[in-house]
Amino acid sequence: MANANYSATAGGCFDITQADDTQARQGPAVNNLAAGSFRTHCGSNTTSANDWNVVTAKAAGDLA
Amino acid sequence: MSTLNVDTIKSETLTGKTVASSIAVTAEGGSITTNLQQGLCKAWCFLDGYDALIHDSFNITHETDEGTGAHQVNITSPMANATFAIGNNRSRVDDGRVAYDEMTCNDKATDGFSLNTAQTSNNAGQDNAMLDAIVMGDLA
Repeated sequence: MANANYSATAGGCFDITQADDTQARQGPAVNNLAAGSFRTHCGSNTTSANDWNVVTAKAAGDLA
Repeated sequence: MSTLNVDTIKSETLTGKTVASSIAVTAEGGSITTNLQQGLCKAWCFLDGYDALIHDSFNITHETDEGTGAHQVNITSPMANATFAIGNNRSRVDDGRVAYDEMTCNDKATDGFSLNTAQTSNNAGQDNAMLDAIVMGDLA
């Protein structure tokens, strides 16, 4: 990107085999924006980190 | 139908030939077309929720801090209706490996929407250092 001031959002699911509210987890949060990268952080149903099956992200902003 | 083969087009405006507001583009798979106007991001913003500061944005005029965790964002060139979609992100810190809070986007109107963040544990309003929103839908 041209700078680190772009808008990045993320989604996904904790367990791709489940379709009910057992999916409920915090996140993903996106941060640590840089021109060439960003990080996504997926949570559990408390405040601890948790690996998810699926994480999706999109970004809108200025390309270099 | 006529075909014009060129490498680069320089133009101030692209307009549909049959319907001004509709231009078809060939999809990635090559077998169908998708609508150019529908696929464009109509607005986006990257805000600091603590300082009510817009770092950068497109088609967003300004935000109003409406209290802890509550922000009103104004769209400059209005949407055609209030049924647009908003992708969003929140992070309480610029670089931390946690996902503390929940975020909702509501109060949708043609000229804006609200971004709200709250602590997951007790639903109390909570400012976040990073708030992102991406708007997809129909411009007026």
